[in-house]
Amino acid sequence: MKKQFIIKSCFLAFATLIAVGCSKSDPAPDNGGEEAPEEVGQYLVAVQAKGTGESASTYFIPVESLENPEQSISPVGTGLEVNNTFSNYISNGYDGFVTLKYGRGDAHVGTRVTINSNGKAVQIGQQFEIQDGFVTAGIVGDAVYSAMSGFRAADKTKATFNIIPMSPSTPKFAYMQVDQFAGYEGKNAALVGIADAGNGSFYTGLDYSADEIDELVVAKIKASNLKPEAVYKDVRLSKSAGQYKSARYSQIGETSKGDVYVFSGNYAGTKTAGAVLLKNGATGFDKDYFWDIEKASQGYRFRKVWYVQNDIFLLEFYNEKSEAGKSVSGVASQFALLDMSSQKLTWVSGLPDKSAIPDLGTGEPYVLEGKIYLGITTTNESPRFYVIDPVSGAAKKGLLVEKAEAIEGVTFVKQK
Amino acid sequence: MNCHNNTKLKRLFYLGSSLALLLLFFCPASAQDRDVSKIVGYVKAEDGKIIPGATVYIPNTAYSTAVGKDGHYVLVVESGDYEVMSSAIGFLAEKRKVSLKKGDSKHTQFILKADPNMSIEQVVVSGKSAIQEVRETPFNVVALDAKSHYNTTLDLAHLLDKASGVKIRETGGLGSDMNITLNGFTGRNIRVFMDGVPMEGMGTAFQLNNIPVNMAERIEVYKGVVPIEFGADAMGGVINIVTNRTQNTTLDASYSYGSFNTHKSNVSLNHTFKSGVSLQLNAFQNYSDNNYKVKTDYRIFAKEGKPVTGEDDDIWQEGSAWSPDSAWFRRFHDTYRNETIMAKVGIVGKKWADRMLLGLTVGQVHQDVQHGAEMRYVYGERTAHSKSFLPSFVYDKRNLIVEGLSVRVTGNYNYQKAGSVDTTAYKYSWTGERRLMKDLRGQSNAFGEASYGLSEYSNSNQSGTVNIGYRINADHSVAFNNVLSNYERKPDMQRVADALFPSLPTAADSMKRTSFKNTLGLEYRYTFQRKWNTNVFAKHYTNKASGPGTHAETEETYKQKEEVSKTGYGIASTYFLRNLQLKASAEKAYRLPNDRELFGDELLEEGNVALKPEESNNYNIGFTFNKELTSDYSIYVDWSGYYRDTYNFIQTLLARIGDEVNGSSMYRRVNHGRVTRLGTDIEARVYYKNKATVGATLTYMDIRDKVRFTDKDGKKENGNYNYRMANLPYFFWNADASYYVHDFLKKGNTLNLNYTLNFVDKIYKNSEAYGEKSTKAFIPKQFYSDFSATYLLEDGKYNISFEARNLEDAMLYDNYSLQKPGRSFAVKLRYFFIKR
Repeated sequence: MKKQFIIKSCFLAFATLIAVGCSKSDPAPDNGGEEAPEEVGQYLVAVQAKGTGESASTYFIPVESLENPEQSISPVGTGLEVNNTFSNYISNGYDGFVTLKYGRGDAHVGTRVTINSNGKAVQIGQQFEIQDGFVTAGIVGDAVYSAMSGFRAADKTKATFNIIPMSPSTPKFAYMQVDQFAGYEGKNAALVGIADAGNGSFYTGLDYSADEIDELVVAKIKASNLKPEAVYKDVRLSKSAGQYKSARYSQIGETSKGDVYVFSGNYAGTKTAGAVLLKNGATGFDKDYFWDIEKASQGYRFRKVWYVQNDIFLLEFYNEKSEAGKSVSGVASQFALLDMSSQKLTWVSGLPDKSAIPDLGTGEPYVLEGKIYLGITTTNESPRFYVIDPVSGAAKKGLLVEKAEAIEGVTFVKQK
Repeated sequence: MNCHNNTKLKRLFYLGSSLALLLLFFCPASAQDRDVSKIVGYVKAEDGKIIPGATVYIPNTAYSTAVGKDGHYVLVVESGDYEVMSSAIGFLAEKRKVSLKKGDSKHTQFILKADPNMSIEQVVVSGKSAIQEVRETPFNVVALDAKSHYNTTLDLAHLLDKASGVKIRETGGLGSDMNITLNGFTGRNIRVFMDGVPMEGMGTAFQLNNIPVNMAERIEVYKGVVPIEFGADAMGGVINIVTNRTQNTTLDASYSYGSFNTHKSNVSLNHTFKSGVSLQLNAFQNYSDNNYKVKTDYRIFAKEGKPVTGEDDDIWQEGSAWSPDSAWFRRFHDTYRNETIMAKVGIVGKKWADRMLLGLTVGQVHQDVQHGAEMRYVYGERTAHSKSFLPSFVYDKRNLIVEGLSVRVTGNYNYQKAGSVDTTAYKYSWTGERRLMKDLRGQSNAFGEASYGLSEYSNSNQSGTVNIGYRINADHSVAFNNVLSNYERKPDMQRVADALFPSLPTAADSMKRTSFKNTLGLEYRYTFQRKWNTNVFAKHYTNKASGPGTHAETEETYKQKEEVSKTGYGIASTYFLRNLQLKASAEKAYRLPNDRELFGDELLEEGNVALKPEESNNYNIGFTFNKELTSDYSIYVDWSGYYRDTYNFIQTLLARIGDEVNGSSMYRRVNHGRVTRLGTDIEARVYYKNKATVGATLTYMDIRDKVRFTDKDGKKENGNYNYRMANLPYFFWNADASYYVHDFLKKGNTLNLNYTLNFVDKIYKNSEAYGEKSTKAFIPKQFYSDFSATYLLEDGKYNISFEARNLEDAMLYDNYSLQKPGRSFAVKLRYFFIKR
């Protein structure tokens, strides 16, 4: 069955870290509903399901809309079965997902899924193995990159990067020297996050906590040769790193204006959770800009950061306040929208109670057409999409996913 | 006290309560009280010698008696016209027609001729063998004659595979891990016994996948409702291997050689001295390279020497990858060898003991491990080994002190020292290439193909059973059974902890795990006019376990103690019509979580001390039809249908220890869920004289996921509700034909040809409900056949067999796409000597 669904443009989609849309050079229109070029396609929803006594598999289901709370989908009898589960879902433009799995003791693997011209979810090529594994990943231009710090290798001065093309070909890998960042020579950096910086470069947080350096350090790296282009540091905040066990999440985002906000979730509790600004064209952090987000949120720290639109970011906060000086712990399942320029924090309202959302119970948020789509799994209901207004922070119920364990991710795929 | 006058009242009382046990002891009635007829006489061999173990019986009735030591027998029956049979193992059965009026006593003599082909099925067809006795109990049971397979290279597991309702699933070739599916139950729901002693914990050197078929006399497969004598908390059923018990002097020696450099040999020796001292010695050996070909995708290593960190953009290189297409490879690291010796010594046929034997089994296994749960993850150096030491004791006596009282006591101590070695610094590909792991970064360490380890552990457990039966009179009997087992593991876990996540050795790692299990059973059996047998029974289960637990809030480890006790009960009944036996049974059964579920294996499975027993309601009906159609043809049909409703299903979920990268994923068990099974097994067989047999077994079972909601609050619907459970074979059959050419080439020599066709339907690996069918992972339909030819010389003294398995060279798969051997051939030479 050929489904056609006409949506308004990708005019806002490009701006998120996880869903990089069209091209960076597109003008960023206001969130005012101007008519924009139209795209035809479907959403591709990834859900996890299992029966009694089974281990879960992932099912990729194409759907037309995520908004109608009266509508529901279920993996029963539909969708592409992939006999695995994945920890990272990275949207690659409007071409589909790259999914990656932390292999733990085993190999780290992944696959690529899109929607074919018949409207069916299909894998692109075979499942692949990530050379040396990974702890963090992101998209740069039109390819997904993953990185594994050197700490687990014999040669700790090199991190391994994998580049995963959206084609059947196997990923390629290369090493990056991590002990030669300007000002930190001889010290091995752990890399956190891969955040698109445009023009084939990306930002990554440098974590020197192993050397007991408690600073916020960010490097801009040329993706093609993995050479640093610049290193920025700021002592007002601690490292810019979201973490869950060994997984590392970017806390860096570039706005449509080219300003880069670098956050620190204050994981270790040594400073405060906040953000600093690297203005478009600047060579260092803006001395006048500082936002103590831990204070603004009345004591909460955060883990993940996504750019939405204008100067607005979506942040995933820990549910409990942490004592100063102590590492953060517990579940992170509450959200707020932060206007970085006006320093206004708006808690997202209308979502299920945070106590009902288990840790990592939310899928990757997806931003399209000035709306944030967030798949939430709760302990007492079937998983459901919520549609969040990035300005008001009000969430409305959207598509229900029945008979599934969890919503893992969603992306919009252009019709081929 | 005149029991005869009170029969009716008493009958009610018996049925009402199994507590009648004690009272019944005071009522030693005798069969002579009744107004009945008798057939008396003797059974002898042609040479006039007494045949121990001979029986006299009336087919398709419960009238049956064993011949006494002097060769005499008395068969007490009701008046009527009968065909009376006498048979003994190794002899051709004889038939006599007898007409009896009330109070008659007729003399009938039997002179049995030695069976020229004692291993041929005919013994089973027309003899009231032990097998038939098993089949005629009210339980849903099939008995497999092992003797008719003595000339094959089968191990016990592959013989078991021929039974209806049973499917063996293997991970590879000889000695590979195997899993029994019985009526849709797998693994721990099925208990395996050898002569009534649980085989759990007997060690890998002495298991179904390596014990040669020649060690067994028969295999009994009880489905669902299990007699109390096994004391088992097995919901799926019980498999009981009955070993050879001949009092003759026998020597059975065989050797076989087959494809993939497979050598198997077996020697078994039985001798009973005139003094009653009995000696049994069994030794077997298995060896195979298992170097059969498999088709799989394979790892292509990244090129060495690159990449570089350079100024230009040419730093990227192809990483390790999976081949785009699969290719054929010969297995190169899968050698399996095991050697086991089992000796039993004791006395038989004494006043105070029919059998009292001390046994000792010593064995060892060494095997290479070729791959993990998926073939593509190939290993080149990983190995596993074990040594077992198993002393045992058995005492058996019928009519102890008083007539009708039988006692059986067994004791077992199992000690196993086992381990695995996975310390290589290389990673392998099917292409034979290997790469130093230190170059494969991101590993938590640079050693070990699966997970780094050099583990050595020892397990010990003790078990004991007591069976006391009392036959009050011909109509009433009672039985008591108690099985207890004790298990202790005092782990030296530091090593494992070091290998898994160096920074986190915990208090739990050094804590002692114990479990104590006791199952007590009472049974009352009532026989109405020898035509209707009913067993009523109750079982009481106790389980005490202690091991590490974790406080939910503080996350502190403490010693958790759990104690569970449950009572189950059931009824089984059978009715004999002329050629037909009807059966029905029902039971409320429990299965206690076992040691591995409670404590884990410290490596890949996490324990859960708080697990509750699984609970199941089992219902069975069935019939057996056995008729001689003409003097040349006879037919045997066995049908059973069953329904199982299982609650508190012990579910396996994925858990994690350590962290995402440094840790490893483990399985953990939780109680959840409900599964129902509705199934049917059928076996049909036609015999033509002693020349040919054609038969088939077929199993179809509908195993449904009955969990409506996946959460405790009942808000999340389970999409697989009412769909089939994943990864369980549900439709399979096999058909076989045998032909015997008697006096082939020379008088007394026989040629036996056998052909078997096997079928297993396609199954989905994941829950049936989810995803589009065309995209789902599945194990394909399996269809293949086996052929064997055996030439028996000098009445079976020398045997030569040729065997071809998987004639079609079909690609056979089992658990999660692990490929089994293709076409294979074997030749077996066997020498069999018997002195009666």
